[in-house]
Amino acid sequence: MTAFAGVTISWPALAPILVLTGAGLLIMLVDLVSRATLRGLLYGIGILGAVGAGLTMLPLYGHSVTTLAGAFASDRFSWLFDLVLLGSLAVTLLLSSLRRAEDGGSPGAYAALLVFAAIGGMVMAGAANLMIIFLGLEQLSLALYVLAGMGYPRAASQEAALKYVLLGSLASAFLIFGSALLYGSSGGLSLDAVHAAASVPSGLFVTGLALFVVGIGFKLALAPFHSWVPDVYEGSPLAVTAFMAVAVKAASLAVLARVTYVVFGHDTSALAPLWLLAIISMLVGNVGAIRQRNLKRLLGYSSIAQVGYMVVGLAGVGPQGLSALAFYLVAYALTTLGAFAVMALLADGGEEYADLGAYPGLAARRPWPAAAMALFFFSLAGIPATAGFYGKLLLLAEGLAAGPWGLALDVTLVVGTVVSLYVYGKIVWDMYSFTEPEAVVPTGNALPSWVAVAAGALGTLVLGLAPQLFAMSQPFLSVGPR
Amino acid sequence: MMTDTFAQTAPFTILFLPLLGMLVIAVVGPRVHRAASAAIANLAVLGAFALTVALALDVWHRPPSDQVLTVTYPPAWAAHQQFWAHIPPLTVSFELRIDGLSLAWMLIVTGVGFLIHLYSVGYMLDSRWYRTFFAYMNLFIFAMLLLVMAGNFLWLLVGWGGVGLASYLLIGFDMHRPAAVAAARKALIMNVIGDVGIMLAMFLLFAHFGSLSYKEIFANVTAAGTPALNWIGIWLLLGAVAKSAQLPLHTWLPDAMEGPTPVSALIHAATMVTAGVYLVARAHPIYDHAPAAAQAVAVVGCATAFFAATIGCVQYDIKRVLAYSTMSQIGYMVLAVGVGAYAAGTFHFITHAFFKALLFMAAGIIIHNLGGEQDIRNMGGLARRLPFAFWAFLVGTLALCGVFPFSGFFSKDAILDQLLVLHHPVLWAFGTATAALTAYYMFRLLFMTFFTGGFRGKAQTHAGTVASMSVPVALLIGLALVGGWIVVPGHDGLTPLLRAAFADTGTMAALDHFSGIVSLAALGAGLVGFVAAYLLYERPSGLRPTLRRSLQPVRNLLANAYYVDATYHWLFEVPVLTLASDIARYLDPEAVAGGAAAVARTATAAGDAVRLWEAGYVRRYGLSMLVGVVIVLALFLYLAGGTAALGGR
Amino acid sequence: MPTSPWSIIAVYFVVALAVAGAIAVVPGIFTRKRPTKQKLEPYECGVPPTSGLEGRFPVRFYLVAMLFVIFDVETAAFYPWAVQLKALGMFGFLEMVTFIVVLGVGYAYVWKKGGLSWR
Repeated sequence: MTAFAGVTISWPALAPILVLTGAGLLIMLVDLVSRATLRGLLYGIGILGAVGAGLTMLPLYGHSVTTLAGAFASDRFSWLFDLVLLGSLAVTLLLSSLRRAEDGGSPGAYAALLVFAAIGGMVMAGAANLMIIFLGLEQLSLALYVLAGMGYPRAASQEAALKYVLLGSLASAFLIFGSALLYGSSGGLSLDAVHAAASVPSGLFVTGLALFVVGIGFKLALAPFHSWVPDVYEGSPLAVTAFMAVAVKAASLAVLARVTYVVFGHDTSALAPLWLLAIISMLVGNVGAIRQRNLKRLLGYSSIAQVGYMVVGLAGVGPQGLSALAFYLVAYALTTLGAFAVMALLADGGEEYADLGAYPGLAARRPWPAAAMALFFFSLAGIPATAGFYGKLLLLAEGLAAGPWGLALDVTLVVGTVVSLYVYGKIVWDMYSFTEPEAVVPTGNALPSWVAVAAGALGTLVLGLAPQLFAMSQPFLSVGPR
Repeated sequence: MMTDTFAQTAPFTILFLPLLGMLVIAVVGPRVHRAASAAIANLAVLGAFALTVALALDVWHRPPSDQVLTVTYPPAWAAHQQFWAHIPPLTVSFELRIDGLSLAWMLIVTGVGFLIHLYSVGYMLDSRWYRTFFAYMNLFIFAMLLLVMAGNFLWLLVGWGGVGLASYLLIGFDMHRPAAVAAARKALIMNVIGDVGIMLAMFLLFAHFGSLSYKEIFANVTAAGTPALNWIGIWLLLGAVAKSAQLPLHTWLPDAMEGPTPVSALIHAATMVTAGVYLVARAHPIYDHAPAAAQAVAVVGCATAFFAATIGCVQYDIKRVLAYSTMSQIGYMVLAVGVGAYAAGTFHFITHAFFKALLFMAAGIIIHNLGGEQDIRNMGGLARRLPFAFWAFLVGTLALCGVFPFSGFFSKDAILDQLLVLHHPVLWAFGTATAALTAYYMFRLLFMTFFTGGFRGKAQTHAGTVASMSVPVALLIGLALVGGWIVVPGHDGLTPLLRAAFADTGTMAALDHFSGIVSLAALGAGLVGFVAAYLLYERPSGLRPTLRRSLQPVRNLLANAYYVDATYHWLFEVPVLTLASDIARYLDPEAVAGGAAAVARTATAAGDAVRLWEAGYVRRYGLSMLVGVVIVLALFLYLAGGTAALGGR
Repeated sequence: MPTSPWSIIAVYFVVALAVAGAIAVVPGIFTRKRPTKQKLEPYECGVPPTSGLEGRFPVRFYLVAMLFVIFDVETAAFYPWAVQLKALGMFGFLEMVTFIVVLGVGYAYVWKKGGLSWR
């Protein structure tokens, strides 16, 4: 503990972020001094940084610390989200290592920006203060705006970056405006102060809350703030899309969950519009996925629906609900990263296998990647023996305990799942159908993507077959003291 | 002792060895010699068998109060009140229950299962999908073990569905033959009807007990009240009926003979089809307090035993006769567990597994040597050509007919005896009459196959019998002969193992109670059947054609298996197909196509609208967002009490 | 009479709107328009314009502008530190050194990557 000017700093709580920052700076410096472009080394430093940050997290397991004058919390809740963020950072870097020179972008800037984006996400996961939330969100977003355009030889990537930055800054404007109004109505920036104002909500407070939810809803891509998702997901480089689909959602969900939990406690009736957004998202996401012919777009729509599912965990707010949400988030992260890893594996990091036209008959040509892909789709659809199934069960149980809105969410969840069964089932059916043998056999066989695929598949199966392992490792998942 | 490491780890190992075998074959199979796949599969089951024997001995030597083990995995979780799944209010552990009942089934499943694996090494040698076959067989053993070892109804259902899947895969193993595929589909559909029954029972159990664990349900079974228990019993019976091919869901079993003969021996004779018997015996605390359901079980079993035997009398396919015989014998077992004679039912299951597997394997040798011929009208005089098969078949037949001192005598006698002891004279009468029919159809089969003049067929293929086929048959000859001797008058070797499992039932009687009248009646009935078969098939006289003419209607009825299949066809298939074709003919062009076109137009219009709107213009995306913001803001304000809140703090 | 402190803001808002609106609208109504060529030219610091507005600017222009803004804003963080130099003590000093190092890495990166050279 170091103290100055009345502020205490808990270095252990900040260590993961500091380690990652060091790694990011190191990547920039190495990129400067090395003549030849040592892509592997740059990504390697990033992965080592993620691992190192993970190691510094170990002593924090089970502890709950609030530091920087209550602005930043390190608790069970942020611990898990940090883990998800670091994991997705490592996987993204693994998949990025397949990038070739003609894919565009400087590898140093690319790797460093990914690391800084992950730091932004971790700041969000622990932020207990409106200002810090905004700070983390902007760090995450600004890095991703650039990363989205890193595939600039493809026009779609430039388009994605432009759309993302324009719409994203609009959302940031809502978020900061909402935060300002919340500050105005509560007289403080910390979530505790906002909590105090929530008991007697003024019009100012409600307006601020609404705008805040809109801003986070945009980052989460909740419908109707989802329209940017398909274009941006399709245009961004493959690995960056994977990172967007997992890390951005995880960090934004962390903020949403913490705000919900700290500000509203057990009475979440004021958040009814959020439940409505979740319902619309589940429907829009699953229905929108039906006609997609591009897997990245499809997974984009799918992620809209999946976030809708996860919001169900907030409806019955409390440790149970947070557990359900966290379990589903981990399951979603494993399966989504896995699916992107299969795409990267088949195309050696390229974009060829984003086209669903390449998948019919895949099982005959590449049995193992096809099997892994089928597993991930089954998990996304919620078939038993996969992580997604158990996650959905937990969320349904939470919804049942959350009154009429919870029931409506549950019904939509089930309806959405039925639709998604068709979406994913059709691809699996295609993969395992007989097709003309002259189709080209994909050659991609790179080790990094195999590692990512195997990790995703293993996690999906383990969490599906022994789901209680999760509950045992996170027995008292909770948000730190107020 | 719950601290006993062996009793903690062995069940888990036994259960997962076959699954491991399947996975290893699936992963490395294509890269190694096919013989290696067979070896892996055999070793996995043999290992499971050896461990099961050791576990059974371990349990045997425990005090009776300690003979029922509930093992939860991983053990560390059990100590900390952790569960496999916790979805409030439902908690499920991964628990296995080891007691005399499950051990009896485990011994047969792994023991006889191993012999049949060994037999398949030679029998399936010509198959193109040799490795796949062994992978499926191991999968079946795993699922069956899970079924009998499960410690709660959820895992039971997983195993229950797993054996259904394995059965489906193996019946349809020759997937290029439409008949095999149709039979596989039929078996799956019938089995799923049963699965639904078990699921309904599980819902009721959870509603009444708040748990699915045997331990918790059986401990306070009376809390639910008789009507509820009757309903649970009836739904469980539906599952048992479907899986054990009892009336009226029996029609899939004769068709399932389309599968390879080892499959018929393993799944459709020795193990899977007895799962219904196991289920009723396992749920005995429920049936003990549900008299109506128990009565239904007994009646279903008795009726199946009798009717299946009558059908068996006129069949010409060697495997179909054995299939109807299996149904009939399982009818005996269901009858036994229905009246509460659980030990007798278990005993008959054990001996039946020996002699019925033996009969199927002997039949398999014949079929193998005749190049796939299964019609007994094209056989005859084979006793000289295939002496080994003949002796095996003879021992199996004698055991099945309950001839002293073969194994079937003791177990069938135990059931019939218990029927009288428990005051069910009518059921006993049917059981004894069935014994006569059994002897008739089995000796008819024996005579037509091995004697009755000379060889009538054309097939001359003489494949020979490889050692891997004859060794298990020889072993089973011995078991069919002496397998019943564990229970002889004055010595009951089975009850001590089972007693703890059935400690809470009132009708548990020792098996070594023999009464001369019952035995003599059963033997007499068997003799009648034998004489009838002998007179009709071995003594050429005018009797057979005469009888044939006068009993033609009855023959037709039996040859068509009481027209049950035809009834199902007219009741379910025809209406659905007629409706479907009517829809296709009349409704489709008008209403459906028109409606579909209208829907398609609407959807396309909506899609076009969305596409036009989401044309990729950022300004439009921004505008959609703004509209969303306004709506969300309005909703928040409205729900917060509208204008009242706008006045300030 | 105003019951809420916010109503004063509302009055201010209305007055501001009215004044601004009047300034924008009233001259348009009352002045006479005599446009000449010089009057219609865009005003550019008093220097005669060299070309029209429809030309393109090199993207480097924005890059340099952006870099200037970034470093300019970050330099602004020095002022509060300088004011509180004594109060913040050694910790504050080290904190600022770290800040400068991070800034320096970024600066070096931009320099080395050619972000500052006008080619």
